[in-house]
Amino acid sequence: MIIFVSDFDLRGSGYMNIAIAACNQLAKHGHEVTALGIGYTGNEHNWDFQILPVNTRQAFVHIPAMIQNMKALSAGGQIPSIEALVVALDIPMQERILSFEQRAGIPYVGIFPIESGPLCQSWANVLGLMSKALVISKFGLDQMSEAGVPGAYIPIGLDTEAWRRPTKKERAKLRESMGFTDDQLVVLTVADNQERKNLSAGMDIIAEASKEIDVQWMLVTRIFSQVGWKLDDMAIEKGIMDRFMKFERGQSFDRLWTLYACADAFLLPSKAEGLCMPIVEAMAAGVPVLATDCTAVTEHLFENRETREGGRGFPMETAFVHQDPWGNSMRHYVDFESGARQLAELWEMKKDGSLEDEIIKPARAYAESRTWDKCGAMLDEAIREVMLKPEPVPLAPIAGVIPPTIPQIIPIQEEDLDEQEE
Amino acid sequence: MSKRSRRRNRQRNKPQQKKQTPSAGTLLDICVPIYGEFGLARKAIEHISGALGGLNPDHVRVYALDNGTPDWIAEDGESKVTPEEMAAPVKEVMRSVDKYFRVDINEGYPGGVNNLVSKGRSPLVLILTADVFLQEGAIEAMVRSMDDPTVGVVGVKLLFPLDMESPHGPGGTVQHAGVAFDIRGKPYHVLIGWSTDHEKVNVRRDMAAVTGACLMTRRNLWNEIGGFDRRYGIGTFEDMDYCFSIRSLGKRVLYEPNAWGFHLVSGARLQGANQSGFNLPMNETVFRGKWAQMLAWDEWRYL
Repeated sequence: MIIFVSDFDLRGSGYMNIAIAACNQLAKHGHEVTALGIGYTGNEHNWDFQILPVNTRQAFVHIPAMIQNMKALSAGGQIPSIEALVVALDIPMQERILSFEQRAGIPYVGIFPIESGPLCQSWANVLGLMSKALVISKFGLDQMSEAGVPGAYIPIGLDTEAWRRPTKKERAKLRESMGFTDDQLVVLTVADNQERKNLSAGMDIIAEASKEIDVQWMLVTRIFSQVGWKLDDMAIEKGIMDRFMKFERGQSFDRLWTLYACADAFLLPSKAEGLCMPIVEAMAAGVPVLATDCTAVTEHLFENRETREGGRGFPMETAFVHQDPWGNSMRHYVDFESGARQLAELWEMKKDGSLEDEIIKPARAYAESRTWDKCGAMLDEAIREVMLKPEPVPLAPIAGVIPPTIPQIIPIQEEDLDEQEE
Repeated sequence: MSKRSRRRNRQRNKPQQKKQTPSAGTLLDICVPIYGEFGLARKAIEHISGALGGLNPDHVRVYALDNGTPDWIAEDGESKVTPEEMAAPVKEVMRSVDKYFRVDINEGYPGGVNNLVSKGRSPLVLILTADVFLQEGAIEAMVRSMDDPTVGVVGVKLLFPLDMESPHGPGGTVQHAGVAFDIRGKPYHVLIGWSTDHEKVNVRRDMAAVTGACLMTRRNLWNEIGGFDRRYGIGTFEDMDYCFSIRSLGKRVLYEPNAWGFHLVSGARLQGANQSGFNLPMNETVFRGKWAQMLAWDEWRYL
């Protein structure tokens, strides 16, 4: 049996999509999978694996308890033996599970993004504790390599049959139903309302581009977020309120696909991305992508990210870079004027008919190349590899140590006293 | 005491014993506690004949108890409606062999059910709340499950009514398919909101507990345990407690998906009966204190 830990909040999260597909792939490869689903609340599903609910706030208390219980159940023959623990979460979460898992002695496969570089030593050390570290972008693998951490790149897949291109008729009908006209440039952004996604820059780009083009902007996000932008206030401030439509995250797939099907462009002004599946989803749905030319985004936008050949999107330049507390890594601030220029170029290419062959078709081909079968085969191989490795000896629990902040009697340092007296 | 008076006493006792066994020779007593929800109770009782399936109705008795419903103010806002008047529609659908009782002071759900169960004598007891409408053959399926002597309790599959919007799922989805315990040892209705025909919903299986909204048990076990524990006051957790008691006696608690019905959750409240004041945290504490050693994480068995 494989224990798979990830975010399974079915209202929508990047990890949820990856986790469900990965678990399905593992089941397809003959593994029995039990997922410990953070944020899962027991909703109905028909997948060939089991999901047990984990309360989000208590996740790092409950997950270790669940794993320990499962080990006991396995030892008692009530469930099959545990072959591996696969954890698909951000590195800080992996660190918390690893701190427990070392004592549990189960082979550990981590699947994670590296949003930006350089990879700090603390996080490199965390990744070094994994039996197998699978990073979800080539950019991430570069960062690991520079930090001297062994690992492999796992290509996250996409269901391109579901993420199909709309027919011309469908698109026309959907746009009409949404109230869009042919001479309007409809831009879609799917991004959480958080600092890294840089939605304020997205508004700047729309405002700037609107000086020349009739732009309409659809934003799928977490509308009310304590740490996010006050979206309406900002749209008013930027003068784009009449061009701005917002949708709450967690839209049903058909509803979300409808928004992609209406769009002329997909805009992502992020400061850093570990992968960003919405970019690939847009490419699959035939929507040209404009995104900040940084981190893992670049490998979506170019066939060859080093030579920058084989462009299949519109890279937006970075205005400046700063260092962020998130792993001490860099944040890339998009140049909004570059974004507006790219949007204008996209519009021109659409009008002259070159967009389809130069951007949309190569992007669709790229999306089609990212299959879940490849991802599943690689994950299966990684699990079989770690199962052959000898297990680390469980560490003895540390007991009886008084936390250093608790007041304790400090012995008098007689030598110091002597010195003071002197 | 003289011989004559002893004989007289014996003779007096004989008919009294007969009086106390109105259901002698019957198989099942169906106990329907009521607190205000007379309309629902009528509907629940009306559904019983279909739910009996192939069972002989002569072997079944229905006992209904008005657990201290107070006078209500009628819709005109002035005149009072007495419990007797409200009970009339319920009595209408009960047979002459069935029994209707009333207590003037509410005994709480556990107390009321204990009182009600004590009225009958059949070896099997079905506790049926007034907001559960059992479907064709449900009671027969439960009785058949009781053919296995290791089974001490049978619970059923309950669905949200078709016309009811629930936060867990649309009407017709699962309201109860057994009770599971999460990693904190907290009980919850597992598979709630799932489709009624989902494979996982339709596994006949042992569970730690089932809801008391519709629960069949054996009278001898009921008596041995002492019925519902009255420490749970006006109610909640008494059904969990009873199931744990059953298992502590080495008997099984079975979920029988072939027996199913609709559960108009909180039907009494929807009908205006004042049933506020359930002390969930306190009852949970009582339950955990009593059964700490038997609490186990088991949701992995069902999900």
